[in-house]
Amino acid sequence: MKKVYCDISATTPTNHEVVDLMATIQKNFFGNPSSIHKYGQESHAIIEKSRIQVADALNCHQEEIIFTGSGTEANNIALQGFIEPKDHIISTSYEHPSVSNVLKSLKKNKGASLSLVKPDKDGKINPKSIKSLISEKTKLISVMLVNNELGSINDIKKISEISKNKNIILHVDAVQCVGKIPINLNDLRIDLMSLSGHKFYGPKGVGALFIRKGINLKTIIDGGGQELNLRPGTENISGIAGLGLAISKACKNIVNNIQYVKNLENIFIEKLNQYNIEYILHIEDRLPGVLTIGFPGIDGQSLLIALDLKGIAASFGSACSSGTTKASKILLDSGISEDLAKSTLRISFGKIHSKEDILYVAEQLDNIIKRLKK
Amino acid sequence: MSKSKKKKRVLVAMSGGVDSSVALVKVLEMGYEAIGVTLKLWENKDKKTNKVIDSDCNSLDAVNGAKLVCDRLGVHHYTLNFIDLFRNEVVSNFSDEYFSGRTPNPCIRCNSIVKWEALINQLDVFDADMIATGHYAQIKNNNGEFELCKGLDQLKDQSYMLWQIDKKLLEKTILPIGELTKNEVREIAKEYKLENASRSESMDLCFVVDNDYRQFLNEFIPEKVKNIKQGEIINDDGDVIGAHTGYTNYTIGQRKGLGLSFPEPRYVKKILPNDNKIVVSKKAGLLSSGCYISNLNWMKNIKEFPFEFKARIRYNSQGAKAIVTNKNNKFFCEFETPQLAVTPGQSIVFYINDSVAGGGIIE
Repeated sequence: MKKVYCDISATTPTNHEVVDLMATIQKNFFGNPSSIHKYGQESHAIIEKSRIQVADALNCHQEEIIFTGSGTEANNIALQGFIEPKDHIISTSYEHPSVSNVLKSLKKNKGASLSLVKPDKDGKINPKSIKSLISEKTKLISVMLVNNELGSINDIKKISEISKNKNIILHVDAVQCVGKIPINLNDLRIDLMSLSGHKFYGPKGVGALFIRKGINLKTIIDGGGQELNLRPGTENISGIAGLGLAISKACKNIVNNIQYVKNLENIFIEKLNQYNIEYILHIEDRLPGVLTIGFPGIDGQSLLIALDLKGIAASFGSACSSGTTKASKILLDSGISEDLAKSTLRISFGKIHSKEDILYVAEQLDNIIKRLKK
Repeated sequence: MSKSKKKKRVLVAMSGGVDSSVALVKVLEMGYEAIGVTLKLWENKDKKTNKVIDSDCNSLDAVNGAKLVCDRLGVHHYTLNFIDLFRNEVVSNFSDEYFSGRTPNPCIRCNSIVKWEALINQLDVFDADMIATGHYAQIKNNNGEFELCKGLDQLKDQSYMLWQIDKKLLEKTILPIGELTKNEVREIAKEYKLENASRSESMDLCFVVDNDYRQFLNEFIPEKVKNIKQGEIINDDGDVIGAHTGYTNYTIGQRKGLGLSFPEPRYVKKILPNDNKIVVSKKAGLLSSGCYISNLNWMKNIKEFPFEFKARIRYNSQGAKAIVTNKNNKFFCEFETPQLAVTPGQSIVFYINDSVAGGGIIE
């Protein structure tokens, strides 16, 4: 049976060059990067090389990058490390749980106050809404660059101008889009930004946090002082190397990749039209390849299972909230009716797909929807 | 490829235990294509931490166990969320029954409404043809008439639990371990190295933590429980001989926890919710010669009543000869010899030899 993995937003298959590099490192470089001897020096060099790769890809300084165990960990280190009791935070109602739950617990346990902005119908956060909530106590704004369920891209440039003018720190969860759209940290006034290796064809279990020079975070994990004492623990050398190679590969070809993926999207939509499939594409300005698409009258979970049995992997809500039949809160918040939300899938394409893959997905969707409508 | 040439596809309901795991093995051995499904029916959450409390039948452990078995056998596995259906159709009925002073059997209701009807409704989604479960019972095809029969292993037979299933659904059902003994099932599990399936199958209610149904009712419908007051315990003659703590705390046949001291033990004989009274008697007083039956589901076509069956009034009973009469669609069952603790709300199942003729709820 043909297999097409269309859940690029959940995670990506690891690039084979990355896998080879990681295997080589696992086999040959076991030294503790903190050790003085040659073994340690070699491991240390691998990490620093990777740090340069990340900094180059994002156009920032290498001292501004620390490696973490995941995107979630990066968000925790940034938010918990920055917020002081009684600080006011502005964020959005549709952050990933690795941000929203941290903010909730900062509110509960540290007495921080929290204002949340809901997305507009286009799935985006209106910068003016953020501006209107700013008070003297506002210390941090946290807005994701691309929403993980909708694929909508926020106007971070405008938001960063607001935060810069008001001297407020801007934290951006960019896990969903690093390596998929260009991000230039020299150009954008972002202060803290998280990313995760497995979202751009790198390994799982490794992420990174950008911390703009001059920002001091408190330590939230006590240990041996690695990664500016912000993420202590002996480093995951092969993972870090894999992340470095993956981000440099992803960012090098970013413009071509975007073109390629957009073309796949067009082919897909054209095919759906040809088949006369009834669908509603929710977000217009979105991350290339991410389709949040409703099929009215069709139960999303049933469709997901039926697709899987045909070798096609997609998702219903985000990966973290899959396995429940409740309508996604994020879809509801962006103004989609409960029925339509329950009929909505996220199908995400990437550079790994061929035109044949996309045609196969459309064909199977047609077959399945006809069967389920019977 | 035309459907007739395609292997038939079977949805196997997996609890993660040994019986349903071996059911999956047998379905594959029969030459079907199989898909494993675990039904998510309930979540008990710890109030302080909001973390899900495991219950045997429904735990993360069970789902993971089922997933591992499916992975080992190269079969897709999905978790289907039936929490709303289960709450509305099974758990609500369970609590209503207790409030009516009756003793329900939610597993039987769950089998017919959730594990059969709702699961068979999913067949289209999976493009599947039949379902299979790990129950110890058999389905026999008598010239196109499908019969539900006892499992071969008399000690494990679960046909009693399946009387409420719509007869029409039997032809879409495979019960692959009905012809096996529990020992044979264990042997097959060993042979296929399904060690993780060595969990014992639970006999407890999956939605009730620690089998404490009283505590469950407290949490499920606190407002209703609040209205349950203490009341009198009376004897057959209506004399007050003690006090009860609230009638939902008692079931027919209960001896312990009555707070009575008589040389000969007393048992709960009747629960009178409207009078807020509990009637107790000596053991002999629990015997009854017959009962009315509601919610009948006939699996066999009984042309004329009265008809003699073997009737089982509880899961582990041997069965007793009984004659069922039908007067204007009111069914009455008269036992040949009086039966102990015939409990309203419980199921009564009628057999002709080893075959389930039908069943109903004791009134």
